[in-house]
Amino acid sequence: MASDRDIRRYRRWYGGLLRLYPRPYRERFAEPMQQTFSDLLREHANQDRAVVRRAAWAFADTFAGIIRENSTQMISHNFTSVRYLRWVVVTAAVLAVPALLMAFRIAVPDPGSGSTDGVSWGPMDFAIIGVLVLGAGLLYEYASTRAGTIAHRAAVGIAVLAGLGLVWVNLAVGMMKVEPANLMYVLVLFVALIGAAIARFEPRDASIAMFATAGAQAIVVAIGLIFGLGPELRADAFFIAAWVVSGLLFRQASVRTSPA
Amino acid sequence: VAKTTSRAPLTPAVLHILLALSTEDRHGYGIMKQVERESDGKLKMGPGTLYGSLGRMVQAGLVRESDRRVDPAMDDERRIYYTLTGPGRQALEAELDRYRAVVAVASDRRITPNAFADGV
Repeated sequence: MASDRDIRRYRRWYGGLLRLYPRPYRERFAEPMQQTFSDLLREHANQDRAVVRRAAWAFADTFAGIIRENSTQMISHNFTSVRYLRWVVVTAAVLAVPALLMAFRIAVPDPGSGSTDGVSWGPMDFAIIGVLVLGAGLLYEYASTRAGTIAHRAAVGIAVLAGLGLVWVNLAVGMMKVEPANLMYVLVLFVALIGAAIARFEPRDASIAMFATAGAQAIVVAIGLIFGLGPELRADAFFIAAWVVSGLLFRQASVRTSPA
Repeated sequence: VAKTTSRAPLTPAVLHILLALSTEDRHGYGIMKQVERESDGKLKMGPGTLYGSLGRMVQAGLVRESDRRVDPAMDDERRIYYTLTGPGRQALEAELDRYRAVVAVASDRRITPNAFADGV
């Protein structure tokens, strides 16, 4: 009959084997697995049966599980990497457009002045737009991992696109005719970002954050109108509508995900 | 999160774990022993198979960790008890219906356990 010392020794070895599991799995199951392993050996020892064979069987079974869980994690990580990598490709594709226009000296209409002119981006322009597009893409991927429904994903997508669009339009032509006034839109983005961060893109709180962002932009427009700063009303209406639609979709997602 | 519909066929390990949990909440070792008993010792699940399956079942919403302690004799802080969820019960019922349908077809065709004994 195996002694307690033998069982403790096998248990120690088994604990070493469990370290080969991926960390999240190990943190969750290592202790109960070790406990189960001990129970298994004790039962065999109490029945005067060969503990070493049972231990070897449990080791082999667990080793197969280690290979399975590590393979699953590896596949899942590669999939995640591909999801993030595609935004690098999208960013490169977006930046390739002005780069090609500049390389072939192709003139495009300037929405700000209405004139047709050649594209002239400096290194800083490429860097800013690159960071913006890549940042928005990565933010979307991060947030969409928390989204369980189509409405939730759509809400995240619209919010990210609205934020990206607002920054882009402001940098390109400005939302107001008087230049320093465009800085007020930083507050709008601040409300959206801080709100989303506090809500962690969870639907119920994120919907409040999006409605608050729409409200903030409406206040900016009101200030622009009162002080004659020349707000671009159609563009503002478009972005306010986008924030509201995002908020409504977040609210719909919160209704679907809340317990009955 | 992995999704399991009630129509998806279950692996033998998952089916037996659901069966073991259909009567009461159990910890890992309790499930292991119950599966062994219910399969007349034909299915012996090691800790790797058991907890791998449980992890996937929790992720799929078929079972969840329970706060209840139903085995005071073996109670230990480290033991995690598992309980069936609604979708888990539905998946079990759907799988058992499938088995019953297969057995009914076999009975209609007068296929008995010994039907192929001479042919193999």
